[in-house]
Formats: sequence, C-alpha cells, structure tokens
Amino acid sequence: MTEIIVDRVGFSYRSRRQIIRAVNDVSFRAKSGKVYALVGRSGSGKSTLLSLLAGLNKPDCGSIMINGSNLQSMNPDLYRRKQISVIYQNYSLFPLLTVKENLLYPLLLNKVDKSKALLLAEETLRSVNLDKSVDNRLPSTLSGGEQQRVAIARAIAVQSNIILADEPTGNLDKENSLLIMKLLLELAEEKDICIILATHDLNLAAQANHLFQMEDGELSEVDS
Amino acid sequence: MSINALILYVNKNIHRRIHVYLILCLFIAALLAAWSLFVRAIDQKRQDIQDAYETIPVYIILSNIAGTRTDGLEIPDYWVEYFISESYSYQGFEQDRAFSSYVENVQIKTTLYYKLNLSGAEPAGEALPVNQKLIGITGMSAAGAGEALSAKVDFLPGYDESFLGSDEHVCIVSEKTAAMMNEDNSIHLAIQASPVGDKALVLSLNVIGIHHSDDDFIYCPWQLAVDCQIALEGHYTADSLRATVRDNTELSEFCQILSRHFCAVTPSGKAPEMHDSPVLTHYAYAAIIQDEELNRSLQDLNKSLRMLELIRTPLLIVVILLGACMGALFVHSQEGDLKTARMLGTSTIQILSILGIELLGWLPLGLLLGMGLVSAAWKINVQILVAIGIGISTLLGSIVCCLTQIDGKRGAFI
Ligand SMILES: Nc1ncnc2c1ncn2[C@@H]1O[C@H](COP(=O)(O)OP(=O)(O)OP(=O)(O)O)[C@@H](O)[C@H]1O
Ligand SMILES: [Mg+2]
Repeated sequence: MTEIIVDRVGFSYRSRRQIIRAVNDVSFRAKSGKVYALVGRSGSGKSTLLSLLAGLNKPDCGSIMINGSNLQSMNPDLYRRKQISVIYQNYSLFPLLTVKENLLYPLLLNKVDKSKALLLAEETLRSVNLDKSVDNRLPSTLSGGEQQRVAIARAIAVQSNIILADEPTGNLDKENSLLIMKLLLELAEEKDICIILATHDLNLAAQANHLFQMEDGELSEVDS
Repeated sequence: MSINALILYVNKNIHRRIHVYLILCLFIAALLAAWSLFVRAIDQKRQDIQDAYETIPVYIILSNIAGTRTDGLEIPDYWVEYFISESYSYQGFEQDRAFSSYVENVQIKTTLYYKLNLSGAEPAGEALPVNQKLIGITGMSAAGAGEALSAKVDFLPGYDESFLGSDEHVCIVSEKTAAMMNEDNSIHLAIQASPVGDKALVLSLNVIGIHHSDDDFIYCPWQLAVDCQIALEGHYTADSLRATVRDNTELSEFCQILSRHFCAVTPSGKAPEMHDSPVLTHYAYAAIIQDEELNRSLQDLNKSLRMLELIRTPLLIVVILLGACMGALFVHSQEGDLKTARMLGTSTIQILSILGIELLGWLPLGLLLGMGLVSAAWKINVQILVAIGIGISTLLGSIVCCLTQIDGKRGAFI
C-alpha cells in the first residue's frame, strides 16, 4: 500500500534573466492500485511536476510525502532505485547497451540475481509487445515506438511501488497505445502500483482511474 | 549484487567506445611526449652553454697599456713567471692556487741577436745588424703574425715543432743560413742580448728545420733563449706573451687575479693606479682578454635558455590543465549515459567507480605509451613526476566534471 501526498508544492525554473513558475501551489493525493493521468497544454508543467515526484528537482515550497515520510529527507538514490520507476519523454535508454542489457541494468543495480534478472527482462519485453528479435539490438536501431516500449518495459521490470510516465504513448500507434494503457491499468491493479502519467492523448487519459488537468502550473481534478 | 550492473556498464562501454579511449590515450601520450621534448630542449641549451665554456677558447694576450702593441714589450721575468711558475705569492703570501693553474698553452717569445760565428773563435761584444735575431719561442704560435714562421717550415727528418718546447740546442733557420751550415747540420752563433751589447757568448745549434722567408731570423726553443739571456744579463725579458684560459668557467675569478698585476687596456695609454694596494703600484702592462666569441655565444644561449625557462611554468600549467581537460572530455563523452544511470538510482560513488575503472583502462596506458615513446624514440629521461601530475590532473578533471555535470545539475524530464 503506497500513498503519495502532495501538499501546496511550488517550483520555479530560475535563470539569470527570468523566473518561470512551472508548478504553482499543487496539492493532490495518489494511492497504489490506481492510474492517474495528467493532461494539459504543452508547457503547462506536467513534466516538471513528475520530476518533482521523481526527486530530480526539489520543490521551492510545500511537501511531497511518500508513505508518510518526506521525499526531501529520503536518500534520493535509494528512492529512485527501489520506490519509483520513471518512463522518460526522451526514453533515456543507454545507447551502448542492447535492449536486454538496458533492462538488466536497473535490475542488477537492485541486486536481483543475474539469471532471474534475465528471465524477468525477457518476460517484460514480451509483455509490451516486443518480440525476441529486438533483445540484442541497440536502441538506436529501433523505431521511436519500439524504444518507448523498451523504456516502459524497463520501468515495469523493476517492480517498484510507483511508476511515473511522461508521454508513455507519444510515439505509439493507437493499437499499441491501448495495449500499453491496458498493461498499466492491469499492473496497477494486480501489483498494487501507483501509476502517474502525463499525456496529451485525452482518449487515453479518459481510461485512467483519475484525471487531472494542469494549466499554467496549477492542478485541478476533472470529474470523470 | 549491484556491482554487476556497474560491470555490465563498464564492460560494454569499453568495448563499444574503444576508439574514444584510444584517442584520449594517444592525446595523453602526446602531452607527455611534448612536455618531455620541451624539457629536453632546456637540457640541450644547458649542455650547449657547458659546451661553449669547454670548447670556445679564450686567450689572454699581454699588451702595452694603450693596447696598441703586443710584441716587443720587454716584459720582465717576474711577470712572465706568474704564467709559468708552479707557485704564486701575492703581497708576500703564498697563495693556495698557482696563477699559472688558470692558464695553459702559454706562448712566450724572447729575442736575442746573433752573428754567424763560422770560425768558432771567442767573440767580443760588437755592433750587430738589428735584423739578425735569434728568437726563442715556446711554440710556432708564439711567433707574432707576419713573422717568418707564419710561412711554412720544413722540418728535417725526425724533428717537429715539439722541440721548441724543450731546452735542446736546436734551431730553425732561413734557406740562406741553411746553405752555410756545417756538414753535421750545425751552426755556430755568437749571441748578444742587444745589437750593441758588450758581452757575447758562443752557441752551437743543430738545424732541425728551414723556414722559407727572406728574413734572417733564427728560431730556437724559448728556454734556450732564456738561458742565454740570463747568462748574458742576469735576468730575462719576454717580447710577447699569450696564453689560453684553462677553464672558462673560472674566467671571472682569473680576471680578478689577473687585475692584481695587469690592467685592462686603457686607450688613453695612462695606467690607472691601484688605490687599494698598500704599495701605490701602477701597471706597466695590460691584459687583453679575447672572450668576445665566448660572450657572444653565451649571450645567445643564455637568452634562449631564459626564454625557455620563462615559459616553463606556464607551459607546465597548460600541460596539467590539458590533462584535466582530457579527464573532463572523457566524462563529457558519456554524459548522457551517466545521467541516465544516475536517474535509475546509481549513486555518486558508483558513478565515480565506473569512471575510475574506465580511467584505469586507458590513462596508465596513455602515460606508459608516452613514456615509452619518449625514452625509445628520443632517448629522453622521462619526467615521472610530471607523468604522475598529468595522471592526477586527468583524474581530478574527470571527478570535477562528473560532480558538476552529472551530479550538480538537477535532472529533468526533457
Ligand atoms: N530546464 C528548464 N529551464 C527553464 N525552464 C524550463 C525548463 N524546463 C521547463 N521549463 C519551463 O517550465 C514550464 C513547464 O514546462 P514542462 O516541461 O513541465 O511542461 P509540459 O507540460 O511537460 O510540456 P509538454 O507537454 O510540452 O511536455 C514551461 O514554460 C517550460 O518552458
Ligand atoms: Mg513534458
């Protein structure tokens, strides 16, 4: 059972010339077993909010509580390794590792036994509709959609409590998008994972258990 | 074990980015080689300076005070003795080091006058032609320029120039005189200290060589001439004296000692007085020090040495900084990957160990390659400390780059 409580969080990007208020006074709760969708115009602050949840940026104000403990006081490496998995908008795959090795890396980092990790990696790749032929290819030889699915598989394989996904289906066709969404919904329910995803695809977002709208850094829940 | 993840990363990285490491490795080697070459250039300059001191001769030539004459000086024997005696006292004190130990190849000339005494009868002092000179020399180069000996000398079989350094009764005569010598190649001479001297002595000399000049000069060993002069006058004088400085690095020290007895040339011809002497002496002779060539060479060499030494430290800093840049470049070349590893929860220590293991793969190789190149191709002593310095700076460069670029910047999704 995982619970995320975001309370009046704000964050600004500061450059020498200007301050951009990307996240403004955002509060919400998210629980395991559910999928939460964030929608909003480009530049509304979705990615920034996810980066705050991933601990990649620290909020200027407010607090993020994960299972009752403040994110800021947690060891960020341990948090990223054990508690959350992130599917990045740009995939963030290792270009020099093969698809399978890309999945192996976080598993081995989590001290999963090597043979077990190999099995898990292959299994997860099959579950995101990637066949065996991609296993030993480098990410650069895959299509954008295939790379995206590898990134999703990597996040799923680790079996963390929280999955954050930034445009996880941005490069996928309708069929694969629906497959991924179905997979995420199943995963959330079966493995009791809390999934938060940012997307432009309103059809996809409509399938989520909860829908949030972001506008100029501010968040509001949309009743489904 | 999480170390398996790091091994996976390093293993693949080294295999698939081998060209990057090779280039970095070669650059480090080139850096070390370039520095070693620079250091060798400095050493070479120092060696050149040493060589200049050793090979460029510096001559000391005695002259009159105005510096206009170096011959016919009538230098009294006690001044000549400074250059040839094995002991040296100054102001009544025996000095640790002989004056003569500063010079070598001392060339002296002393002149007497002769008349061919063919009969062998006892001569009386009489007026002699001034051009019938018996010239004692220590070697061929003691004879002044333009004199008979500057023309070629034909030595008789079994004789050579070295006989002039002895005190044997031998001589070199003109063709004209040679025609008049006895059957046993000897000549008899009546010798006087001056053309108008009232004392004379008879000398029998073996002819060992013939000079081809119109002058009727007869040349004999300097020591023989000195012996004759002492027999006639009770003392001797020298017409000219020149010597070579034995060790040029002692030149300034020697000049100090030289200045006790000889002044520098004063064009006015007026001898400077020696004020700090307890006895108010004034100089009778000047010493010309022919060190222009040495000075010119040293000046040029010292100038370039100073230049090299001036840029030595800045260059070393540049070399070390370039080493650091290589380290930074090495991290920068995999910045994206390391950021990804970081986002997946790889700790800073783990990232640093990844970099450390990779560095261990190419950095020592580069340094060894550089050292090998330097010692094999150019036979230069490798500067181990600089090699270590470059190694450390590369390491520090990569650590700093890692901490600022990979860790320092906040991660972002975009
Ligand atoms: N690194 C950054 N430095 C400065 N400003 C930034 C940075 N990243 C994002 N921003 C700004 O913050 C605001 C929110 O950006 P963010 O990327 O969170 O939007 P988004 O909702 O994810 O957009 P999209 O749907 O296009 O991905 C934007 O105005 C953006 O210009
Ligand atoms: Mg975004």
